Amino acid sequence: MKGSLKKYLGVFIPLAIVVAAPLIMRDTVSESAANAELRLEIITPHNEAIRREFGDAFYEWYEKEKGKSVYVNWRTPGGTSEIKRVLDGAFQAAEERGSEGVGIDLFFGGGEYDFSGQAKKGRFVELAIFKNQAKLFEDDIIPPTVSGETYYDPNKTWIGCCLSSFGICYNTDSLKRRGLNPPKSWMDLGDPAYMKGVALADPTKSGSVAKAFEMLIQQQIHEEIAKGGDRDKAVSRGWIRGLNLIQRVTANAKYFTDSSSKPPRDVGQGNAVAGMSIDFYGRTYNEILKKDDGTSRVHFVAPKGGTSVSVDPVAVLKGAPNMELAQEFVRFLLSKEGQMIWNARPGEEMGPRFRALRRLPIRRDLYQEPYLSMMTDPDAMPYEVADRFFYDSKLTGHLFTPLRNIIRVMSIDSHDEMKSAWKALEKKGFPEEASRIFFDVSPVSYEITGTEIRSTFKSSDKVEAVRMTNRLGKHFRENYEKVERMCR
Amino acid sequence: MNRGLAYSLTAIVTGFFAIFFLYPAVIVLKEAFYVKEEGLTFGFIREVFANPVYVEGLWNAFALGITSTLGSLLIAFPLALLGHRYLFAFKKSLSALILIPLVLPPFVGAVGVKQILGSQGALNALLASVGIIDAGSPVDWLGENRFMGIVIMNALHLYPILYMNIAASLSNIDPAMEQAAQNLGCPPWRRLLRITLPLCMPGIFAGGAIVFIWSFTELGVPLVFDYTRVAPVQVFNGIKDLGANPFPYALVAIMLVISTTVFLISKAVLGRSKLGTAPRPKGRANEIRLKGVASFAVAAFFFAIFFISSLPHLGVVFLSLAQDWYATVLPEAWTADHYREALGHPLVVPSIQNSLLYATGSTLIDVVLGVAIAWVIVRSNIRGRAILDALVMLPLAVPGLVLAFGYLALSREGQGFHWLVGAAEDPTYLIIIAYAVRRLPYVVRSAVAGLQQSNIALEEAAQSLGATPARTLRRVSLPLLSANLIAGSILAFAFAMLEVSDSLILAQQAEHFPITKAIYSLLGMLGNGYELAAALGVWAMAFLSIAIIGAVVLGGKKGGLFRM
Repeated sequence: MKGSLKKYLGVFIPLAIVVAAPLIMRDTVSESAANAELRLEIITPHNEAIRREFGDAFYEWYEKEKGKSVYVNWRTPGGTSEIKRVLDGAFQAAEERGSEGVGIDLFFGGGEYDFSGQAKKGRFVELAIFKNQAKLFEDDIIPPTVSGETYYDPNKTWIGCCLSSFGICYNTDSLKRRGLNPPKSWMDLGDPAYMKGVALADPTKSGSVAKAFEMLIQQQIHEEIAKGGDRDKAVSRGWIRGLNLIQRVTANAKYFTDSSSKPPRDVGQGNAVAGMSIDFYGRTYNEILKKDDGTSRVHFVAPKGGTSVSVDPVAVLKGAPNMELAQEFVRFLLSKEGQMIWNARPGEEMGPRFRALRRLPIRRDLYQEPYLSMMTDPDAMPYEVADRFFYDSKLTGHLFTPLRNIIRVMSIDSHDEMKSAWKALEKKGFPEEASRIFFDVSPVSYEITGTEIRSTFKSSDKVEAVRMTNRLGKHFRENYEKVERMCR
Repeated sequence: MNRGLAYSLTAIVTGFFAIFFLYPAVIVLKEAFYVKEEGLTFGFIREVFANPVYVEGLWNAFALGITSTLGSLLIAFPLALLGHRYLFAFKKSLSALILIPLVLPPFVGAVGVKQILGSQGALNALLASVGIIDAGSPVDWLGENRFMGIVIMNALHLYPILYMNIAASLSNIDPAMEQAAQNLGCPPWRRLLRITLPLCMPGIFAGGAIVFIWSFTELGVPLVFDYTRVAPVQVFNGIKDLGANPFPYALVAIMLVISTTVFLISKAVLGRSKLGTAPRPKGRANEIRLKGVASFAVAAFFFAIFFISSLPHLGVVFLSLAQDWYATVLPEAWTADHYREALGHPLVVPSIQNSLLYATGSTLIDVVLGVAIAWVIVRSNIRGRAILDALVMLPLAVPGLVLAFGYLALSREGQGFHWLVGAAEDPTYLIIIAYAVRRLPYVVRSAVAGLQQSNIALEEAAQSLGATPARTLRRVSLPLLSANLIAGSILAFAFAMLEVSDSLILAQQAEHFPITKAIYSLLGMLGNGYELAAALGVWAMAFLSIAIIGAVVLGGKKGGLFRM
C-alpha cells in the first residue's frame, strides 16, 4: 500500500507543479468577456501581439469616449485563405437562411487583394468615417492610391490601417562564406551564387506576395519602355525579361512558404543566405540580433526600384451585429492614438502597452514631429519608398491571376527539375542553347497570357483550367529535364 | 456474441461514424467530383494521373509510408522483444522514456530539428569543433538526402506506436508456448520466427497500419525538409492556393483509396495470428534477469534510441532557454525570460483547461466506441464488419484541414451540426467529436489486437456461468484488454493534446483555444515568437511526459503492459 501511495505521489506531485506554473505566472487580463458591457466580433489574420494591443487600447479609448466597457472577441481561423473560406461559407449559409449578417462585425488585416475580393461580393457596408471625417482622405493624410497600390476602396467599404512592403533580408555571415556582396535588388538574388540559398514567400498563397512578384515584372517592363521604340514590343520584351528574372530567383530558392516569419527566421539562423521578407520582420530581426558592438548578422534592404508599399485594411461586414460599435472601431484605428500603436515604442504616451509592433501607420501626417521621435522605425518613411516606384495597372493588373498560375507551373510545381537544370547550367558555364531552352517562356508570352491563359482562368470550366495548367507545366518540366541532359 | 447486440452496436458506431466522419468528409471532397455545369465529373481525378508531378508525389508518399513503417518496426520490435524477455538495468525508467518521442509539440518540433540539423545548427558546430568538417562549408543535412532524412525522422517519431502495440501483444502471449518450443529443442532464432513473431502479428499489424497511414499522409516532416514532391504537401499547397482549386481534393480522394487498399491487403496478409488465439498468459516466469555487461548493453541500446529520438525535443528545450543560438553546439547565453513571457500570457491558462477538456472527452468517446467497434470486428460474424474495420482507419488518411473545413461548413447556422455549437458558437462539443473521430483508429487497433489475442473461451465460460454480457465485459473482457486499451488511450490522449488542424480552424475565439493554438499564436509574435512558442511547447512536453509515464506506471500495474 505504501509503495502504491509513493507511486501515485510520484506522478501527481510533478503533474501538479507543471500545471501550477502557468497559473502562478499568469498576467492579469484587463477585461474579460463576462464583465464587459459591449462585445465586438472581429475576424483577423493579425498576430496575437497586435490583437492584444488593439483589444486593450480600444477598450480604454471607448471607455474614455463613451464610458462603456468593450470586450473585443477576436476570431482567428488562420491566415487569409482560411478567413476567406470562413466568410465564403458563412455568407453562403446566411443567404440560404435569408439573413444578412454572419455574426461578425469586422474583418481586420490581410491584403488589398482579399478585401477587394470580399467587397466585390458585396459583403461590406460603407464606412461612416468617409462621411464623418472627410478631411482624413486628402492626399497629405490618406491618399487613395500610392504608386499603383490602392489605399482605400473607391466605394468606401474598406480602408487601409497600416503599411508594409516586401524587401530582402540577408545574413552577412552566409554572404561572406559565399563571397557575395549584400544584395540591393531582386536581380541580385538571381545570381547563381545564391543557389539553394534563397527563402521565398509563396505567390500562389498570398495576394501581397503575388503583387511583389508582379512589381518585379513591372520594373523590367518599365526599363524596356524607357529604352524607346515600339511600346507594345517593349512591353512584351519586359514581360519575358521579368519572367526570366523570376526563373533565376526561384531557381535559387530553397522553398516557397506561406509563413511570413519563416524566411527572416531562416536567414537569421543561417539556413538561408537571403530571403523575401516583409519590412517589419526584417527590421526586427536586424535589431534583436544586434551585438554589443552594434553589428547584426541580419540586414534588411528595400530593393532598388522594385517594391511597392501596400496596406492592411479594415472593413465592417454586412449585417454586423454591433454596427455602430464596429464603425467606432474603424474611427479609433484611424485616430492618431490608434495609428501610433502600430509604431510607437512601448511606454511612449501613445505607444503599445506590451510589445513594439513595428508596423507603419497609414496616416501620412504622423511622419513628422512630434510623432516621429516616438516611433521605433523613424527612418522607414514608407511614402518616400513608395514614391520611388511607379505601377501601371494597365500593364499587368489584368494578368494577376494568370501570373500566379504561371509562377506555379514554371517554378513551384517543377522546382526539383528546375533546380537540377539550374545547377547543371551553372556547372557548364551557361551554354547558349541550353540557356535558351531553360529561359524559353514562349507558351506564356505577354500576348498568350493576356488572351488564351487569362480567358481559361476566367471561365467557369475548372477542368479546362487544370488541363491547361498540366500542359504548361509539362512544357517547363520537359525543358528543364532537357537542359539537365544537355549539360551532363 | 449475441447477434442482436452486434447489430445494434454496429448500427450505433456506423451511425456515429457516418455522421461525424463520412458526412463532413464528403461535403468537402465533393468539390473534386462535382462541377456546377457538368454535375458529376472524374475530370480532376484523370488530370491528377495525367500530371507526372502528382503521380510522383503519390508514389513518393507511398514509398515514404512503406519505408518509414519498416524503419519504425526495425526500432520498435527489438525494443519490445528485449523488454518482454529480459530484466535489465534501469528497465523501469527506460521503458517509459522511450515513449517520449510521442510528445513532440507541433510547429516548434520542426524548429527544434532545424536548430540541430540546420546549416548553422548544433550538429555542424559540433562536427566543426572536433575538426570533422570545415566551419566555412557546413553540411546541409536537411537539403541532402531528403527522402532518407524524412524516413529517419518518421521512424524515430513513430516507433512508440508500434512499440506499444507490439509490447501489448507480447504480454498477451502465453509463455508456455515459447517454453514448449524451447523444451522441444527449438533454437532461439527459430523460436522467434516461428512462435513469437506469428503470435504477436496482431500487434505488429495494429501499429504498422497506423504508422503506414500516418507517414503516407505526413505533412510536417516533409515540410521541414522542404520536400514538396509528395502528395500531402501538394494537397496542403493546393488547399491554401488563392484560386479555389479542386485538385487537392481529388488527390485526397486518391490517397483515401490507396490507404484503404493497403490496409485491407496487409490485414489479409498480416492481420491475424496464424497460430490462433492462445490462452491468457499465466505467469511471467520467462523474464530472464540479465547481469553485467549484457544488462548494461541492453540498457545502453534503449537509452541510445531514446537519446537520438529526443534530439528534436532537446532542440526545443534549448531554444526555449536561449538568448541566441547560432552556429554553436549549445546556446551562447541562457535566459528564463521566454518562460516568464510565454507562461504568463493570458491565452495560456484557459488553453490548458480547454485542451484537457477536449483531450479527455475525446479519449473517453474513443475508448467506448473503440471497444464497441473492436468487439463487432473480432467477436461478431456479421457481414460487412471488415468494411467497418477499414472505414474506421480512414480518419487517419484524411488531412486534418479537409475534415476541419467539413466541420466548419456544417456547424454554421441552419446546417446539420449547428446544434453542437449553439447560438454562442461554442465549439467545445464539436472539437471533442472532431478529436475523437480522428483518434479513434488508435483505440480500435489496440482493442482489436487485444481481443484477437484474448481467448474467447474465457468470455464464454463467464456467460455459461450466468454472467450477463455487461458483467462479462466488465469482469472478463475489459481486464483482459486493459493493456491494449491503455496503449491506445495514451496515443489518443497524447495526439489529441497535440492536435493542430481542427484546433486552428474550429477554435476561432481565444476563449476556446487549445494549447496548440496558443503555441501557434505565440509563434507569430514578432522577434522572439519562436522562443516563446518553444517555451510553451516545453510545458506541453513536460505535462504529456508526466501524464504518459504516470499512465504507464499506474495503469501498467493492472494491465501488465509495462511490467513495473
